[in-house]
Amino acid sequence: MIRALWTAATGMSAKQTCLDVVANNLANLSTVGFKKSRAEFQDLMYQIQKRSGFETSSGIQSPIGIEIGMGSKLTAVQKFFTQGDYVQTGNDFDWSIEGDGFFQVDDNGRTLYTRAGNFKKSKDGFLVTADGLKLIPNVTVPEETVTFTIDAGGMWTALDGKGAKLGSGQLEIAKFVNPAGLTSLGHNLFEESEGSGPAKTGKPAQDGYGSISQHFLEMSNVNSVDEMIYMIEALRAYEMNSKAIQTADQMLQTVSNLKR
Amino acid sequence: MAVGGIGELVDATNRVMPRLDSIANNISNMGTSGFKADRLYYLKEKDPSSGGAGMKTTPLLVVDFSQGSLAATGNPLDLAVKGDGFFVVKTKNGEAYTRKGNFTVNKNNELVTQDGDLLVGESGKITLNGNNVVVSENGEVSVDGNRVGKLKIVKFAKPSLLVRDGNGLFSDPGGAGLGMNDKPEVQAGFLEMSNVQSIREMVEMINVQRTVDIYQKGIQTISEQDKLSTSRVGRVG
Repeated sequence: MIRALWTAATGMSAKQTCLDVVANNLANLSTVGFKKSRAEFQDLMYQIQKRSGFETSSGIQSPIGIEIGMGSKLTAVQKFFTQGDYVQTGNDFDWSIEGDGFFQVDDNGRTLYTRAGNFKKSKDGFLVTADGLKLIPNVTVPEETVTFTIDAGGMWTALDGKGAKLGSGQLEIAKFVNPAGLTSLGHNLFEESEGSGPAKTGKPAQDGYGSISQHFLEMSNVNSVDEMIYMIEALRAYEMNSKAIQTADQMLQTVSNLKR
Repeated sequence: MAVGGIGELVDATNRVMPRLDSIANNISNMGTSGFKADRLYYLKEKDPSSGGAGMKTTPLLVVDFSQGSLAATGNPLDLAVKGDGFFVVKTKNGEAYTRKGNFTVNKNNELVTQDGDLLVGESGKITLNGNNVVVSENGEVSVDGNRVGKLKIVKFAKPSLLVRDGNGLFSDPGGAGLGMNDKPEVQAGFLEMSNVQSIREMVEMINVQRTVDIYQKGIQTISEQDKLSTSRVGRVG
């Protein structure tokens, strides 16, 4: 009986985590390049009360054992790399990747990955993220630049007012076998992990890499309706787990009331 | 003799209690992908030790292997088996079987479960070197257009004999009748949800609680009778 109390308690704490994840998704409903997550659970170990094959009173070997489960636990918070909505901004340095791939940025020698393409020009002319991390390969925008373009294949060109070319280069983006295995670092940044596999870089719009759209930003892929449904689901499941605790409690009370 | 009746009711109460444990576990795993609900029953059978007259109750735990609903995730490494069948996983205790398909890759690019156990294909482990992973409906795995392996999907003649190891894994202690599923139906980008039905669990829970209430009333009634008979029988006047 005490087992049922604890089993239902694991269910309640699992649902709490579920709500934490939903809350984070909702908080990032309008974060550029944000990818939603979902909590994943698995069943805990089973307490074996009788092994299969135990002999019943009539001498028959019972085919099935009696295993009582001990509840559930969190296994992973899985990220979903589905496409977010695109928003036109008109800004030359707002880029989005249509399809698979991540922009690569440099954090003091460590390469990190992001889907947020809202780049800025740093004071020395490099294109950087909002947090000041440089794009890899570096994109330098000369001071006299008037027009800056990047095509779907990642080829960028900086032109001055008379149409003379000041600089150009090729952007490369990275792909992973299992992007869901990337580690989130916050600030819209992801880091390669064992689960994601190593990054493979390539030119956009080729070999399955997504293409670049200038003047567009990829918004969060959180769908508020979905999140609301998950929230209701988590809340109701939480309530049902608490009902199991109440029932166990009331049954214990019934038993203790035997002696008056 | 009335006191014997109390003993039977106490036994019955003790049998009902684990049913709530099983229900609590089901409710706790309502959101666990690939989870299969179970239900504890008791069988009444003849007790040979009583010379054929008495009855004995035997517990029977039945795992419900019915299909859970499939939820779209869009992750190419999330796989769901439609209909009969289990994925085969290599754990440190030998082969295990699972319906939980939220796979990932390890540092050698091999397809593994979230706990790091290797997924077994028809010709050993499946290694994904490349970008574009596609798992077809019959379980063929291809990377960037090249076939790299086929998922091993097995089925059991008597799945009720499987033992649950937790973490969504089942193992075969022998006798479950392992066989290949030659025509598996695999859905990539989907996860099989838990097959726990909340309404059923709530109803069962009410049922269990009321049963205990009735047993308690029975015990109280019998002890009341005992009290009366001990205090009144033999009293004159």
